[in-house]
Amino acid sequence: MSSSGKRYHLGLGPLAFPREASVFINCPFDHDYRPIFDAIIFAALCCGFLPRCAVETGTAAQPRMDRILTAMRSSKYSIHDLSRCRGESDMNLARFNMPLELGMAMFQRFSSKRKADFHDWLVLVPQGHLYKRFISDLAGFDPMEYDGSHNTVVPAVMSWLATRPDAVRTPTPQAVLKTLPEFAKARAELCAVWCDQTPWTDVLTVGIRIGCGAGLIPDGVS
Amino acid sequence: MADEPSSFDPKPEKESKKRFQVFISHAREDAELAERLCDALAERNVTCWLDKKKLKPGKWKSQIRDAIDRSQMCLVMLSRASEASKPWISQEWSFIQSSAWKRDDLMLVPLLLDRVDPPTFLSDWQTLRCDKQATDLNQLTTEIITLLWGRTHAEEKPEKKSQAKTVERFRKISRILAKASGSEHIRKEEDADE
Repeated sequence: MSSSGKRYHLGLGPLAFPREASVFINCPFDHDYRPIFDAIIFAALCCGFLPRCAVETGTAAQPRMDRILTAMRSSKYSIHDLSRCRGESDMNLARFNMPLELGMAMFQRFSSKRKADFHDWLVLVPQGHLYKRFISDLAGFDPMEYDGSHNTVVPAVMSWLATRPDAVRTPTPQAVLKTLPEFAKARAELCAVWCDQTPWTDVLTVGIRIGCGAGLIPDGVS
Repeated sequence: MADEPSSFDPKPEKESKKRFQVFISHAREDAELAERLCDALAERNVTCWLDKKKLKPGKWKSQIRDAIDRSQMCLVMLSRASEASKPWISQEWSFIQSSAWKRDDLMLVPLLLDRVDPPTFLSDWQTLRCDKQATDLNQLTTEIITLLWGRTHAEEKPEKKSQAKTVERFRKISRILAKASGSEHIRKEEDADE
């Protein structure tokens, strides 16, 4: 919050950031998914893209859909992990937040007439996922498969981001994977300090610092 | 024509027993030229993997991955039609980049058909050019074979160009994170506005 009491959203106002260098991450935020989430965030950062997501404003009194829309609209790219779209727990319920947000990203792409509003996405699914059976409209936009581990999600994310028109030079996935445990450890420490409410920008700042330290991000940046 | 003509004197391909495979990546709109180039290279003992000729019904992703992994060169045709946002091109470029990260012996060659900038992942590699309407592909095939032989004999990766764009991008990210974490910069900007 600024001295005048205004609350600024990452990507807007004084915190504006180029849309073409922002990537919206649409994935589960639960504890079990944390290693994959960390891997995606760190891979995107090392590729020179600012990760955005629904939790970036913490528990701010802004409806979740507003936060998602704001973050997605100010990102040219998005990554959607559909791996949780299957029955879970005793009730055998599937989560539909991810496909819902993918639909919003698709709408952004197909409804935009101006080149400046164009949106591009990557869909991630686990190997052998039956997405074609329940989301057949994706046909032609084949998702990238991974085996549910950070070892395969990092190359999947990086090979996509590195080939976008707005990409900058990237390290190799092997180098990122080698440093990932350091980022995960630092992130876990942050979570402990913040009782799982770590400010999003702190997570990214740690990522940049660790990326610089490991030589994945050019010297003199952080 | 190559941007930076190689001083390497290529070994005449007829003297060689080594068989090369070139994977050709192209937009659908450039398929006709891709096919002619494939035929021209075949005449000079270079095998090409072209989807139209080699892709069989079934799991296309694994076929393309395998073809890239078996190739010594990925020739990426770049025109106004080859946009990374097209699903097919997006997947193919991702597979090419993944393979290049794993293999030091894979050469990537951007082939410019229009006045377009190569995407960043290809910007370190020597560029070739070709007129879409070109009828004689002899010079282009010679350049490709020269590169194939040059790459085989020279183990070094192409020299990296300036990283200015990359550094600037990361500076922007760091600046925005610093602003978002503390409010000093925002205060100053607001004061200036007032």
